[in-house]
Amino acid sequence: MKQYLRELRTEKGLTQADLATQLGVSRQAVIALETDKHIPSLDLAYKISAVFDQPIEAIFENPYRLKQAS
Amino acid sequence: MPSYSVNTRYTIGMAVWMVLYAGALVGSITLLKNLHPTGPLLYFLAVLPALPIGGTIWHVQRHIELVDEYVRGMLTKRFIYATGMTLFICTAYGFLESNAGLPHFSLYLVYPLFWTMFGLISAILGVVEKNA
Repeated sequence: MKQYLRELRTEKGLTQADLATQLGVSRQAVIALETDKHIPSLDLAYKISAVFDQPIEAIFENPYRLKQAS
Repeated sequence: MPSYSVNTRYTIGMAVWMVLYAGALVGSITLLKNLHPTGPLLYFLAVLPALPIGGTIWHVQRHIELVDEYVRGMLTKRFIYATGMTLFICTAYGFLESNAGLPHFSLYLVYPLFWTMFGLISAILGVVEKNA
């Protein structure tokens, strides 16, 4: 799943550790999210959305919506 | 009470259970040797060292519930694979013992075998997940 987490985090001047603290997860989890090794639960996706004040689909591309458009 | 991280709490808890295990083992052996108990006391003293081992399993399950979803997923996957491997090895060895005369495998060894499998699977999955 394509995501823009790293870009949004660096834009906001946050380290992986800062973001992990804000989300209440381990730094390992943030690394896994940024490297597409973990698809977040809806709850975590909402937390990420709240931290960056962006809708979920602006952070994680919806692959099903793309399929519908093509 | 100071607030420890989930990992520190896990390490402290595991150390406590291991100390309890060592105490239960020494206590059980000593009392069985000196008291020559019978009946319920014999059964209780005989099973005593296994109780802290049950505690370590409970502690690991609790740790899995406390970590974040990514780590929980990783640990759960490793735990399930290690359980499967342990079940397979024990079953296969049981047949080898019965049918091919291999030496007896004590059930005490199932617990260390599980953690050996857990370590092995963690190492393999670590490499696989890194290269995925």
